[in-house]
Amino acid sequence: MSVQVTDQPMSDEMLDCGTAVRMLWDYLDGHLGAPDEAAVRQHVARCSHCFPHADFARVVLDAVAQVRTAQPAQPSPGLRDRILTQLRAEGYEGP
Amino acid sequence: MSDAVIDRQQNFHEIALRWLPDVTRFAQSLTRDEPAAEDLVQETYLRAWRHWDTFKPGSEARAWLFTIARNAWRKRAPRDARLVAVEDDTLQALSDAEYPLGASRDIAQSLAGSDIGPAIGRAIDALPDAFREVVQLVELQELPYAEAALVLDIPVGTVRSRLFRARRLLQGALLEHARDAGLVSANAPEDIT
Repeated sequence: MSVQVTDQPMSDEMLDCGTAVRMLWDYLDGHLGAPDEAAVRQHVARCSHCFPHADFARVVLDAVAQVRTAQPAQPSPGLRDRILTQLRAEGYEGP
Repeated sequence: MSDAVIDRQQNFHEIALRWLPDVTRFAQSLTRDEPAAEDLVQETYLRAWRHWDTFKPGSEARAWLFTIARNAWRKRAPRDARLVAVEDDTLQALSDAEYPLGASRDIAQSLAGSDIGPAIGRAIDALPDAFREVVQLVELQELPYAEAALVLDIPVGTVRSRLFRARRLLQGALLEHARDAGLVSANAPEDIT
């Protein structure tokens, strides 16, 4: 991503750096309302202090997503069989 | 067999057993031990079947099963391994102490080309229980905050704050990984509030 950032941390009337960092996770999760989302997006894009924070936060979220997709899709067949055996002993007759 | 009994069996198959992979992963997260996880999954489904009449049709079966699994684990786990209630100010102190942001401005770029999946997986496993279970439910099982709150029996706001603190701890672990791998300077300044 190519973004023009300032040389210094920002502190303007709209959003200061501390507030932007506190709102960062909600921003990246898409949990902010439109005005807050725009304020954080604009701040992060222009602020030399906050831009690396957002970049690093995205790295963490991407890494967690990797773990999520790498999870085994199915448990072992033996486990499913043992569960069904146990359930049938209790009256379950389903598939 | 009556129609009601047949419906009960069919519903259990379609609604409860379909979540077996998710319940298994959640049990693995709780126990961090494969045989213990499989035992816990078996116990969860046995309890679920015995209490299937109490399940409210239309409610979230996965969260219901997770709750059963977590309660079963709390009862069976050795005292020293049991999930314990932790005050949130204690958790906050823990995560604040390891708050890593700003340690390197180039950390994201440094990590971009490396395989950090295994490192983050180990970091998740190493999280304190109260954080790990939130990460497991919200990040890995993709439960909404409200459903995770029901499973954990904590307020939605606590789910959110624990998740964010957990992410900060994971950032700390990734930073340590990057330093160990020589991807960033070991003496990078820590400059964030």
